[in-house]
Amino acid sequence: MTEFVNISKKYGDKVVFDNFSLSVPEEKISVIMGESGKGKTTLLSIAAGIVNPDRGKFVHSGNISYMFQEPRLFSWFTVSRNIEAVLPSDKKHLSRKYLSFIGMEEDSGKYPRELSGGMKQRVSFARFLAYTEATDANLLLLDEPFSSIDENMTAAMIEILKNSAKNKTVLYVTHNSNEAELVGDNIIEL
Amino acid sequence: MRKVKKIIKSAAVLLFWLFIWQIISIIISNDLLFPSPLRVFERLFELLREINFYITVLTSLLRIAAGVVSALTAGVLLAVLSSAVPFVHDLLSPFMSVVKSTPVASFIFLLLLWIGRDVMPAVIAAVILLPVVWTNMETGIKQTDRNLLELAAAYKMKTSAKVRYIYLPSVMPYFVSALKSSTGIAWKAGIAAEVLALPVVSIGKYIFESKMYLQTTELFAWTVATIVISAAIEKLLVFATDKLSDGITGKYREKGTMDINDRIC
Repeated sequence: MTEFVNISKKYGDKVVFDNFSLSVPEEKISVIMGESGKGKTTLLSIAAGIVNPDRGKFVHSGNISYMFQEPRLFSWFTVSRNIEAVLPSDKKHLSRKYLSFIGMEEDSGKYPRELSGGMKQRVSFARFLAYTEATDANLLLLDEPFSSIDENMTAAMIEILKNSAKNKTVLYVTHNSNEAELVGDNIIEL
Repeated sequence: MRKVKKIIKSAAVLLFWLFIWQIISIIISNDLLFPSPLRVFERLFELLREINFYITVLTSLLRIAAGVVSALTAGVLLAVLSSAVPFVHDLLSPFMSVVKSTPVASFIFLLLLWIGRDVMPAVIAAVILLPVVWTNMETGIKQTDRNLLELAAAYKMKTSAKVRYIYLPSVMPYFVSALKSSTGIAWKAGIAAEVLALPVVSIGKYIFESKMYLQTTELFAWTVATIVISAAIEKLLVFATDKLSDGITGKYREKGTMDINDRIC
């Protein structure tokens, strides 16, 4: 069961959620859409446990993997070390596997500043996938994961995601309706 | 080729100032007031042949290094504490401000009354360094990128990994900056404290005695030695901290690209 129960959250005077509840379909890719400021990122942050709701709770059992909207790479680490940094010591080898998945094996020794915006986002995606496998996460959260990547590459990344997300529950935030149709089993409007 | 050019340029600058020194000494033409560089270096080379010189330099170095290490340890620990507990920051802030703005001479005379003359120069070096290390380290910790800390929380990184992968690389530039900017000052303040405290074996004692007995050439020679040692310490520190940074942040620094504002991509 993956559920947001009576969530209330406000930042200063701005109310983002007021007694919001949502039951997330299990083992499906649910796309969350909505205008800016509707709380899409806040919702994922609450699910990931990095933002606490003022009231209510998020219910889920199992590990969670989160891909942020921005790449959030360590500028002082190479591409491969950026991935290894979040992996348990016996799972470091997954870095190589997922860099090969996203077609960036040869860039493993580069530093983030040597990469384009799209490449950084792909590294962040590889890190997310590696962490998902390493922890056997059953809830995947993705916040506009491919916003800096061109359409063809996005389609390829979505294919990889779909393969990795089999039998997993996914919450996927995007503004792009084409992307939503391509990736989602169902769409949740906020 | 660029390195050779740099060396030639530095040598030319050094020769220029030695030439100016020589000219002034010729104009004054009184070794008691202003000895020539030739006389000073002659005396310095005499000192270099004496084992006592090395014992004295090493004793002063170790004494002041003890103060520097104490200040670094205390500064880092207090910065961690005051970053975690705002009340500790409020408590320490006025103390550090007072320490920063108190004249070194006041500290020297007060400490002379309170503690032994052998320890006092080390304490002076520590007192000079402590507020700088504390301020820089606290700023470094507070400037640690929240986005990376959120990432660490989402990916359930262990505290040890957070410290190693996020906090250390974030505070390293601030730590290095504190070290580079104040160790030279701590060294000079330590020597000044030695001049007033007169520990039995110390550079400061020799400087004081040269002044007492109007041995100006001796005074210049010890001063030149102090300057050279200060420059050597600075070079050694830059080398050591660069190696330390490389160990923590990979080889990123070798590319000459890491700075305080360059932390997240």
